[in-house]
Amino acid sequence: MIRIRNLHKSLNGQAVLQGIDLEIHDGETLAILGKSGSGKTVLLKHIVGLLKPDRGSIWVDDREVPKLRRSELFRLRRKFGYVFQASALFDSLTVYENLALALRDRGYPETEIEEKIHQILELMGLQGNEEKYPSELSGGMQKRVSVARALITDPKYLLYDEPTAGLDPVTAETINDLMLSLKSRFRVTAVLVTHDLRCALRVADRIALLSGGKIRIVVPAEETLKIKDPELQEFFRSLEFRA
Amino acid sequence: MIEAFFYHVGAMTILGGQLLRSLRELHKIPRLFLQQLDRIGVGSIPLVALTSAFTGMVASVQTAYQVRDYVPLDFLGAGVAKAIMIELGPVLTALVVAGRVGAGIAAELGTMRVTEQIDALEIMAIDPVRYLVLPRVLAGILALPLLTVLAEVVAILGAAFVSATVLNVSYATFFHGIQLFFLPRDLFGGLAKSVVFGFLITFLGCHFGYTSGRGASGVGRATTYAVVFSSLFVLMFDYILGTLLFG
Ligand SMILES: Nc1ncnc2c1ncn2[C@@H]1O[C@H](COP(=O)(O)OP(=O)(O)OP(=O)(O)O)[C@@H](O)[C@H]1O
Ligand SMILES: [Mg+2]
Repeated sequence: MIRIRNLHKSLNGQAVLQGIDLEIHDGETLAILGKSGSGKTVLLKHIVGLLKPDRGSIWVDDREVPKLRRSELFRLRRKFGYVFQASALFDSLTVYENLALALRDRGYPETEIEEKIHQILELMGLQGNEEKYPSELSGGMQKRVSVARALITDPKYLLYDEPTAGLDPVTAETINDLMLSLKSRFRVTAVLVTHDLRCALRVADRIALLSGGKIRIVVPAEETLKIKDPELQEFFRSLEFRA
Repeated sequence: MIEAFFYHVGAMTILGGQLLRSLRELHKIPRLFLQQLDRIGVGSIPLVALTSAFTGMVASVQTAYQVRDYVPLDFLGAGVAKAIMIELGPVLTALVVAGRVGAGIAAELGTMRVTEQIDALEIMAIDPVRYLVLPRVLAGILALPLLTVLAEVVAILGAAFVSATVLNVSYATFFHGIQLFFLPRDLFGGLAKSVVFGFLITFLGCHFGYTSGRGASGVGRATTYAVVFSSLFVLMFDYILGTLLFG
């Protein structure tokens, strides 16, 4: 379980997070909606200890993340997969090496690594691209490799930062399906940051709205459309346009 | 300015501490270490050889010009070789490598910082200090003395060539002069310095890349700082170590 209490963070003198309270239960998928610049990415980075809070704290499986020593933090992070908004693939490594890196570091035998990579590339529709470098892939392919890289270590927690942004609707749908099947098959606990309410409604169990540095609303996905909140309703409008 | 000074001293102290602790995972990096040894060491050979050839040649001419009125040129080899082993070899090799390798490391790590690749390593529970910094620093510590030996051999050959062809000091006389006054301490003292230089160049390159600011301009600044400060530190430590070893 991930528990966030009264989290405050300022960056460059600007108060980005101003008292976040949020819990993510085991096995659930929580979607975080919010306008651009509302602090969604900053919030995700706190969960894995890439940023340290000014005030408040985060607990993962009852371990207080900001207080962990470096070696303990690394041990905790083995439970996480993280899809970066901008992919963050290693540009001097091939697709294969990008996917193999974490597994090799954890001492997996090479035959198992090869098999896992083969499986996940097929799942992502990326077969035949093993030897390419990230710069030789399209933006959408990079995104899929970065999702694959987050999944390949079979993490307990998955943090997705806009996993479907910039993808064509068909590919976006395969990623949505993938998130759903991870949830049902492996009871993965996931936080999904997105602009796309349609995707959130399809994949998430609960939906949270981040606004003004706080979690303004948290509701079960199926009740979202009943909520009368002007900012949330702006996200509804994107549904109508696409329907 | 003062703020920046303390920021960098603080960040370097932390990085140094993490580097020492990452030695525990030394067994995980042999491949990366060899890769860096190839890039830092083997890759620098042509540049180092070329610069040291000219260094040796000019050292010969200069020394002859400075001493010819009061020292017989029979001793030219001794003077030139000592200058090369104690000062010119270690320092010029370090400065050349600082320009080439220090800048390269800072640019590479800076880009990785800016594009979140270092964060990606962190998330994957791969300590970026162990994965990126340790192999480079160890490769620098090993490569610099080896490059320095190469530089000194090439420089002495260059010096001997100029002596024989321009200054009328035969090869035999030149090398006899070197033998006559050779002290192992000159050679090993110079190489000890180059070990320190190898550390300084790679560590500072890693530090400035690691703490790079955002965007292309951040990486550009990191690269400049890496070259400027590693050159400065090489000269500073050359003085300090020179005093300790030969003073
Ligand atoms: N490293 C940083 N240094 C300074 N300010 C930052 C940094 N990262 C984010 N910010 C600021 O924090 C605020 C929130 O940024 P964040 O990236 O979390 O937004 P976001 O909700 O993820 O937006 P988007 O949907 O566009 O990705 C922004 O105003 C941004 O300018
Ligand atoms: Mg974001």
